[in-house]
Amino acid sequence: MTWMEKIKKMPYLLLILCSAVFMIPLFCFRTGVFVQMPFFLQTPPALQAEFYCAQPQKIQSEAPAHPEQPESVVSYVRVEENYFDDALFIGDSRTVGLRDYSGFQNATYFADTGLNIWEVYEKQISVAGYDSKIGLDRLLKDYSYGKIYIMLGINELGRGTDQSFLGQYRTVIDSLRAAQPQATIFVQSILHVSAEKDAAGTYINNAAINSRNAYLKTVEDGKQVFYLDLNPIFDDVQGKLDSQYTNDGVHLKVSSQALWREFLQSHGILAQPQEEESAELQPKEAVLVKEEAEEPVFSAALEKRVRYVFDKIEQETNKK
Amino acid sequence: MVFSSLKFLFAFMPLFFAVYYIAPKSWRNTLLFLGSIVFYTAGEEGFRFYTLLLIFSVLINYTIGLHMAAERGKKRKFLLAVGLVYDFGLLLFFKYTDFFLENIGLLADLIGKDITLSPLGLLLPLGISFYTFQITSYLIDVYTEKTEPATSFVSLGAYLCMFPQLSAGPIVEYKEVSAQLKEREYTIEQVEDGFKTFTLGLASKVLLANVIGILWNDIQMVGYESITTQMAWLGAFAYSLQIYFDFWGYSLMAIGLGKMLGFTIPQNFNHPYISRSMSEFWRRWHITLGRWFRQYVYIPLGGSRCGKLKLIRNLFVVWFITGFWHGASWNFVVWGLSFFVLICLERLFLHHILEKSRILSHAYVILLLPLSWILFAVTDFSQIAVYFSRLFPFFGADQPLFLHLEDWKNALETYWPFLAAGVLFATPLPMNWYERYKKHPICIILLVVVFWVCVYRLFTAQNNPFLYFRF
Repeated sequence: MTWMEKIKKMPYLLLILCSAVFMIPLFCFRTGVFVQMPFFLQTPPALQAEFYCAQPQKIQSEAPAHPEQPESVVSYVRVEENYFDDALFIGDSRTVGLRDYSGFQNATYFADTGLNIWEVYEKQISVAGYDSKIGLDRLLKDYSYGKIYIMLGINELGRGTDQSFLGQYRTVIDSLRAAQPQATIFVQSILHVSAEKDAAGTYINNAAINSRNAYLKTVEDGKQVFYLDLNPIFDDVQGKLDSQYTNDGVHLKVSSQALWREFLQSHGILAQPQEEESAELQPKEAVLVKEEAEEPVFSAALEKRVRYVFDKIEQETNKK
Repeated sequence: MVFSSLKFLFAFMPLFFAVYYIAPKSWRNTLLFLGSIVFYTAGEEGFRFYTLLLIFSVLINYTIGLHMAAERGKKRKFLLAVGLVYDFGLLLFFKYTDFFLENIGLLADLIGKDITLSPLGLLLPLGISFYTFQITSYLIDVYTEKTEPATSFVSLGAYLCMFPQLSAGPIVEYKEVSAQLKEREYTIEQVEDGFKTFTLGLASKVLLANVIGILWNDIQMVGYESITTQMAWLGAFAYSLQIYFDFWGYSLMAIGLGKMLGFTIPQNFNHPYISRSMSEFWRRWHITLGRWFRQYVYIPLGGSRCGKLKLIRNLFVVWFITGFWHGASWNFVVWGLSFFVLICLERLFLHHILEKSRILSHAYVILLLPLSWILFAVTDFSQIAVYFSRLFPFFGADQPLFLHLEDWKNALETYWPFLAAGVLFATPLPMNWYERYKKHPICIILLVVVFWVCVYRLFTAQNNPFLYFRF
C-alpha cells in the first residue's frame, strides 16, 4: 500500500489532526486557559483581574486593619413587605433563587447565573418589565431605587485577589451611588458553602469566602452603605453552610430561603423622616445622566500585557 | 482519568497511541498493561495504594488460575473458593464496610443497645466493582473449563486493566478477548472507525448527558419540596436521559478505544428505552452486567428450569445483588427489587397484556422507568418520599410553601433542544443512519465539528475557573 492509499483511508483522523494544530491554540486563547503555557502566553496573576475587568479600577490595597469593624451605629428595624417596593436586588444564581421562588415579588431583580462583580455592568440580563435583555446602567437610568441589595462573590473566588475583588466591588458601589444617590446600598456577605463542598478542595471554599468577606465588610460606611452578614443564620457549628439548608452545597434550598427573606425584613433601615416618602418605585424622568465616556479598558489591559511580555523577554535575554 | 477530559484527550491518548502503533507487535500487551496502570494511577486522586491493589488482583488471580487448571477435584474447588473470597472480599470491604457498620448500629438501636461504630470512610477504589466482576468471570470460566488460563501475567494484566473498560465497563469476559490478547491486528480502517465511535461517545457524554445533567442539578438545588409536579416529571425524564447518555457514551468511548487497540469490546447498550417490557429493558441496558448475572448467578441457581417458586427465588437473588452492586445504600436495593417485582409480574401474567398493545407496552416502560430512576438517583428515603409526593400530589400531600409555577416552562425553554436530541438519540434512527453513511464526506465533516464542539465545551467547563461561572 502506498502512502497515498493509506492516507485516503483515514480522512477523519487526518482532519482531526490537521485541525488540532489551530483549534487547540484557538481554544486556549478564547477560553483564557493560560495555565501551563509558556511564560509569554501566561497572564501574570497580578494582571489577571485587570485583564478581565469591565471597569477601570483603582486597586485599593487597604486591607482591613482590624478584623472586627466597629459596630455600625445604625439600628436595623423590622419592615413590612412593601418596604421592598423600591428595592433592587443584584446577584448571581443565589439571588435568582430568591427571585423565582420566595423573594419579594414587588422588588426588581437584576440577577443571573454566573453574574459577577467584574461583569455586573457588562452583562445583559432579562429583567421583569423589559422585552429584551438589558444592562444594569439602563435599569439605573430608568428607575430610582430606595434600596439596592447586592450579593455577589461566589463566582469570583477563582479570579483576582482579595484586594482586586474589593477594589472592583468599591468601583461598582461608587458608580451605583453616583447613579442613585438616594439609595441605601446593602452589601450582603458571600454565603458560605457546605462542609462537603468545602472539603472538595476546589477554589470554592469557606476559607476563601471568609477572607473575601473580611474585605467586603470594609465597604460599610454606616450612612449609605451597609454590610449584612447572612452567614450566622445559615451556618452550622463549624461555620459552614448547614447541610440542612442546601442540597448542592452552594445554593439555598427554596424552603430555606424563608430565612433569608426574614433576615432582610428584620434588617430594614428607615429613610430619614425628612419627607413623607412613599416607597414606590419612581420612574426617572428623562434625567440627563451624563454618559461616561467608555474607557478603552480592554486595550489598556492588553497594552499592559504586551508590556509585561516584552519585559519578560528582555529579562530572559539579559539572563543569557 | 476520565475519557472526557482534556488530560486524556490531549496528553494520554496521543502519547499512548503513538507509542503503541510504533512499537513492535510483541510489546503490545506490555504497553497496554503499563499504559493502563498509568491511566489508573493518574485517575486515582490521592490514593496510589489502590494501583497496587489492582496489580495484586492480577497477580493472585493469575497464580490461582494457573494452579487451578493443573488441579482436579477438591483442590480445584478450594482454589476457586480462595480466589472468589479474595476478589469479592476486597469489593465488600472497600465498598460496603461503612454500610454494614451503619446498619449494625441501627439494628443495635432497635434492640435498645447502644453500639456506635465509627465509619472507616474508605475511598472507593476506582472501577473495583467492574474489575472484580471481570476477574471473577475469568476464574469461574477457568474452573468450568470454558477457557484456558492465561499463559502470561502480562496478558492477564492487559485483559483486566485494559484502560478502555477499566473504570466503568463494559464487563469483558476473558474468553471473548483471549484470542486477541495473543494476536491482534488493527487496520487503518479500524483505527479510523474506532475514533469515530469514540467521538460519538464523547458527544453523548459532553453534549447530551452533561447538559441535561444541569437540569437535574437545578432541581436538587431548589429542593424537591419546592418543585411543581410538571417539573418533577420533567426532572425524572431528564435524569433518565442523562444517565443513559452518560453511561452509553462511556461505553461507546470504550468500544471505540478498544477498536483502536485491536480489540472487540462487546456492546453494552442496545437502545434500551425502546423496550416494551422491563425484561427486554434489561436485555438492552448494561448488557454485559446482565450477562454476568445470568451466567454466574441466575443459571447456576437453576434459572427458570426448576419451578415457579425457585424461579422467583432466583430472580430475587439476582435483583437484590444487582441493586446492591450499584451502590452501598438501601435505595439501590429497593431500586433493584422494584425490577424484581416488575419482572416477576411480567413473567407471571403481564407479558400477555403487554404483547397485545404496542402503545400500552411502550407507555408502561416509558412511564415506569423514570420512576425507578428516581429510586436510583435519590439516596435518602425521606427525600424519595418528598419527590414522589411532588410527582403524585393528588394523594393529599401538603402544598409546598414556595412554588415557582413556571419552573418547568423555564427549564423546557432552556433545555428543549437537548431533551429533543436526547429523545431522538434514544431511538435507533440516528445510529442506523450513522452506520449507513459513516464514510460519507458530510458525515465525516459533521463528526469533526462535533468533536471540536465537545472539546470546546471541555475547555470552558473544566479547565477554566475564570470563564465558567456556574453560580
